[in-house]
Amino acid sequence: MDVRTALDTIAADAARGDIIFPTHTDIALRVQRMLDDPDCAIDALGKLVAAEPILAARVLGIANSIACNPGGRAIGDLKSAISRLGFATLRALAASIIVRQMKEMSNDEEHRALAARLWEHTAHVAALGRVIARRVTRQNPDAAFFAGIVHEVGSFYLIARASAFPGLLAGDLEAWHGEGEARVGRAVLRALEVPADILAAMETLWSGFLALPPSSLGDTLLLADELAPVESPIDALAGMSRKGMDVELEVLIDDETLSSILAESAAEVASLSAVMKG
Amino acid sequence: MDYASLPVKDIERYARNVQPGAWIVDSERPLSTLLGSCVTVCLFDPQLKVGGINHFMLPDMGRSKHGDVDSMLSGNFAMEALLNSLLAKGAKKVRLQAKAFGGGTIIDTDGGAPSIGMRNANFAKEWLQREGIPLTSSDFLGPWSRKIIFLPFNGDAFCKRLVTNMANAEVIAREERAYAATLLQKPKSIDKKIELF
Repeated sequence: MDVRTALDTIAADAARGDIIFPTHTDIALRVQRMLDDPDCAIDALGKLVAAEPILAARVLGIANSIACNPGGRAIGDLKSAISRLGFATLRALAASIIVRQMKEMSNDEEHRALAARLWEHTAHVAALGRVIARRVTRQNPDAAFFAGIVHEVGSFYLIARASAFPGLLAGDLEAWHGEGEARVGRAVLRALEVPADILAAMETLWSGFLALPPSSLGDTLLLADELAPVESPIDALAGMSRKGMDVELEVLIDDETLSSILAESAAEVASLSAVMKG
Repeated sequence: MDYASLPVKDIERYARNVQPGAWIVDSERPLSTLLGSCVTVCLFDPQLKVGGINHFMLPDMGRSKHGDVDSMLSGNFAMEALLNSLLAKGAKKVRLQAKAFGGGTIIDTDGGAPSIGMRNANFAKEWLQREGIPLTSSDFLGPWSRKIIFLPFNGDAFCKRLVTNMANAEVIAREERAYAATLLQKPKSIDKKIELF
């Protein structure tokens, strides 16, 4: 089966709703649903989060990171950490558990290594997106963080299904870039019941057209994706890698440059991505 | 038509394409161009709401006598043609803002010497600085070709980095080589018009 046919099959399966999430993402999905309830009690939420060790560790880690705790006042309990983060960030972290565990779905060692690299890229994009939203595009940082976490779900799903199509990830994945990724990504994000503003941002990402200067949530996500120091390994297979070359992407934001803003925010980005990668 | 309200993909369908070596100034229809190692500079007058783009490269004059000067003159011509077209429409130089893109390396080179794309990008930046026109956004270098969409009535610009496989890199490179070859030709028709007294 050639690459294009294999991608068509995967996209068609995803569009039909034949998406299987890892079984141990159950608690993360329950957290998402509990957050949908307007009467959601923080005590109950704290107990549910505590039952998922990776999620609990990440909630505490982010709550104590420089990005969310510039004053350096450490928090040790989940209830206080959730209060500090807010429900929007908690929703993003619950989604991160699902996406992160999608990388464990393949039994192939090479595919798992590819997924691990993709997760590293994801963590960078989420962290950068949050900072760009706050400092550059004036978008909702939580929404940008969430968008960053889910922006590669299509690629994670591709890796998870790749073992059924031998040689798929060894070939030229140009057909994946843009429309192939969008078809699969849309289906997975719908299954995850991702909010409409995130879906709209993803459409901008898949279109590839970055507004300069960036302004929308979609621009925030695309810019973070283009600036991330760790590239997506799937982008590399699709012919979109930087190939180690220099790139000069610069924007004037009021009297500051994008590069100076990002240099100032490097510690914040590093603190967030470090927690997410863990 | 309110082009600004359309998704970028739809704007692309209505855009007038700017070929290598050309420039267009407009106040209504979107403009687009496809770049390899060439660069495009988008100039916009926010008060008059008119803008334009060019698409150019510096010719490689090799070791010819005055090669660097001739190369710069060619770049100056591309920029001044765009600038003068805008001024002719009533734009004021002091109000102009610029965005610039391109200078990719779409076909692997030997390395070492600065790439053709880098020369083009550096020229665009230096020309704008020399003329005192602020460069508000740019996306230069890297291994990609780029599609640029520009709305000359509000100054919005969109840049898409494209997968550059062997086939489309060769097509873009061929077009750019053809354009570069025209830059190296002597303007014979002008020679004939010169009269000495």
